Amino acid sequence: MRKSVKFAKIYLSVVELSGEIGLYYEADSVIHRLDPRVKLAWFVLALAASIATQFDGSVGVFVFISLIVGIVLARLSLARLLITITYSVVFFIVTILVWASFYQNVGRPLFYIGFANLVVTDVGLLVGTGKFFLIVNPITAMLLFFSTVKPYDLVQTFDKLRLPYKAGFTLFLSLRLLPVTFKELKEIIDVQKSRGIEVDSPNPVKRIAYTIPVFVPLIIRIMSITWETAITLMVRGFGAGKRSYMKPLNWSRRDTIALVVLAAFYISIIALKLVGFSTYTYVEGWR
Amino acid sequence: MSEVLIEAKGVWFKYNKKQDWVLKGVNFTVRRGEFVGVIGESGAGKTTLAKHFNGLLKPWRGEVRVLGMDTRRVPTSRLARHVGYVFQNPDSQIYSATIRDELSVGLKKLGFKTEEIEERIKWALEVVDLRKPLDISPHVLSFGERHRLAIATVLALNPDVFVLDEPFAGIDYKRSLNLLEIFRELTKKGHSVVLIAHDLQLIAELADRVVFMSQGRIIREGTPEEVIGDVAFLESNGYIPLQVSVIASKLGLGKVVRVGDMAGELYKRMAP
Amino acid sequence: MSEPAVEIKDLWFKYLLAEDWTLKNLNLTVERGEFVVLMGPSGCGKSTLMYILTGIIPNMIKGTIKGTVRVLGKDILRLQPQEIVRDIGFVFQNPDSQIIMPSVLEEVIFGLENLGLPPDEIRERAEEIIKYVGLWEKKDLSPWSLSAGERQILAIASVLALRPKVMILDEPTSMLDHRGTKRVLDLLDRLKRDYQMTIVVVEHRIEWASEIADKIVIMDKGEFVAVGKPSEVFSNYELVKRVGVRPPMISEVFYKLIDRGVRVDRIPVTAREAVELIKGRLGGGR
Repeated sequence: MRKSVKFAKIYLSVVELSGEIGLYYEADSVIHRLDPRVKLAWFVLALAASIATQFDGSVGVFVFISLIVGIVLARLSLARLLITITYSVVFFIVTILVWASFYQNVGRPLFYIGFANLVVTDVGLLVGTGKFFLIVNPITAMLLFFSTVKPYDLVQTFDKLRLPYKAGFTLFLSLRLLPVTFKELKEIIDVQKSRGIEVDSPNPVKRIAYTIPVFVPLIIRIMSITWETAITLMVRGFGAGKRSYMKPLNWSRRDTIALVVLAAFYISIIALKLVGFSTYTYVEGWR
Repeated sequence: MSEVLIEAKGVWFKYNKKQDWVLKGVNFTVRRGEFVGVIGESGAGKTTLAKHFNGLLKPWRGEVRVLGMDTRRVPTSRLARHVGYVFQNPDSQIYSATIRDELSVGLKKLGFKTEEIEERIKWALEVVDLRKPLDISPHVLSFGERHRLAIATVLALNPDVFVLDEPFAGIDYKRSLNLLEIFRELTKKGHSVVLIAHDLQLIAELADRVVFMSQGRIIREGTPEEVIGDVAFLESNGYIPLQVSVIASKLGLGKVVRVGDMAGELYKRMAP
Repeated sequence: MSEPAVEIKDLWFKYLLAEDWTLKNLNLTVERGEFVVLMGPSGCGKSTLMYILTGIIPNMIKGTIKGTVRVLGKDILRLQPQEIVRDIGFVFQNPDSQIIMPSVLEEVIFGLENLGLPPDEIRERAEEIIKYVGLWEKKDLSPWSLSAGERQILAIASVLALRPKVMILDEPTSMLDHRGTKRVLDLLDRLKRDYQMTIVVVEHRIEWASEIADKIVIMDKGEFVAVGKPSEVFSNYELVKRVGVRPPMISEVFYKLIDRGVRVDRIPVTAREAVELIKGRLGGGR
């Protein structure tokens, strides 16, 4: 398969994944019913916990597990889970190799990887996995947040928390432009091919040369779509002042409980890490 | 009858396995010197069919031949010599730093010499009536001018068949008519034109043959009078018939689609 | 009655880096409830005028403005966008760029929420307008599952929900097929009849425009070259030919008859007029 086709296929899967607009995934689940503010807090807590555990994958893995539990509870499609895991595995191997190589002389050697001429030590492995979770956990948490919070509630969540809701909205808008951009990209490739420009040439050097005929028009198209969207926002009175909501968020007892549980879990992880706890040394010591 | 340039035989097509068929067994030929108008609602499959003519899409069943070449075996870059495709939005095409570069990209690919490239560029710009210095950026042009530039790039390639897919968004009526007259002239020199447009008046004025598509099939084919002149047929297929056709049918003048013909009919009856 | 809906006086406009004036000394009065169709070749300044009437100039695009533009008596050149949207609605060509939210209902309430209206009023207004335009069955669907024509109807409905008194539309049908065009034009027709809404529209379907328009305005090179009833404007054969706007087909037929020496008393613009006129002529001739 030609690379451009492959690229297009991957892109397509991402677009399909994100549904028609944004990443939201319609489902009836415990997580969907939670107040978006709880889910935003979840994201922030998971992010903080990932930062706290960035040198210790043996603790970071619990943050990861908590998020996978969230995804399962949210009944997100299998495809979404699989894509998360597939990309994670690839990313996992790369981060481990890179970080383990920095820590070859620190800690107790565990095993040796022949082709990379690399000694993996326990410290190297902990840091490698920690760094891996530092990236993968926030991404997974973000996926969970955007998949379960309706775009409609997104603005409201930011607004109610007195965060700049226009910023939240910009984020949503850029997600909305994704499928439109893809449509334009396909059109532009067709146009240039029709003029005899082999944008999908099998020759990689040629293909690089032909990125210009694709990306210059794409950027111009995106600019004009953005401009038209800005006009639309203006004529609908966006940013006119205080917004109201037809379907206001309402906080229930269930949300309070969820928030307390989540906060307790992640704050204890952070606290344990601050006092120097590591699952690895704990297990080692116990053995 | 003249030589067949494009022949689509029993074309079935869909965009992916899960979807429904977009084209359902379409047969379509374009002969040398013909001006064919294609009409039909959005989603009827007009653009999908047209993209088969230069191999951008390949049939799932059936076959498409361009000057005898099977589009499944020949790359679009080669078919581009024979089939020139003008798209709706010029901004999907224009990327060069100067007007000259934009016009010469395709010509250089076809291996023309510098003098001939210059000559063709000059001719194409004259045809579309775009009088601007060649060294300025195409992005400073107005939308209508960019549109004419896009048409000129295809004209310069001098293909056998021109496929015009809704080419007149943002170009006013007088200019559209002038441009189409030019394409009409080109058919006399052996080129063929396939025009996809919602504008019935333009098609009625210029096409030899009109094809009406609906839900992936060709449901009516014939002279402009037979297709566009049939008020009841158009109305039952979601189209707004031409004003002169409506008036002619109310007056019992038969099927009339062109301003000139209507004037002729009335002249016969009203002349002193 | 009170002030006119739109009053343009000695309006000049030049874009920021441009050398020439894009709009030159425009004067126009649009009465309340009037339906005005604006025509002209591309680059004549139609879109610029639309931008001024909707506050996009000077709020989003800068330039030099001279003269005054009053809408319902208010000087819109000095109004903030949030004040303008309560009086003036704007819809343009591309329906795809005018869709923000992921469902029909949410799209319509988006603007109402921006204005901070109470939830009950939002619900009421949204239901009323979605039913009026005939999209109620589809209120929970994604706008992307609708046809392009229906998406444009949705864009118009979302603006109408803000209850503007004047609607400005810039080629609302140019990207639609005939079915979509018919729906949009029918909706405009109903707005005029049911709500006596003031409508200014750039539209090339001149046969339709001539049936419904109270006034046709023809623009060329930044100036108004003709203002009047459709029959008045299209009687001016010389002008129509010079500017290159498309006349109704039947008017063009009559221009040709005049060219061939047939004496006609007037030039028809609508099908009904033409049928009567021709029947009269033919009946009398025999």
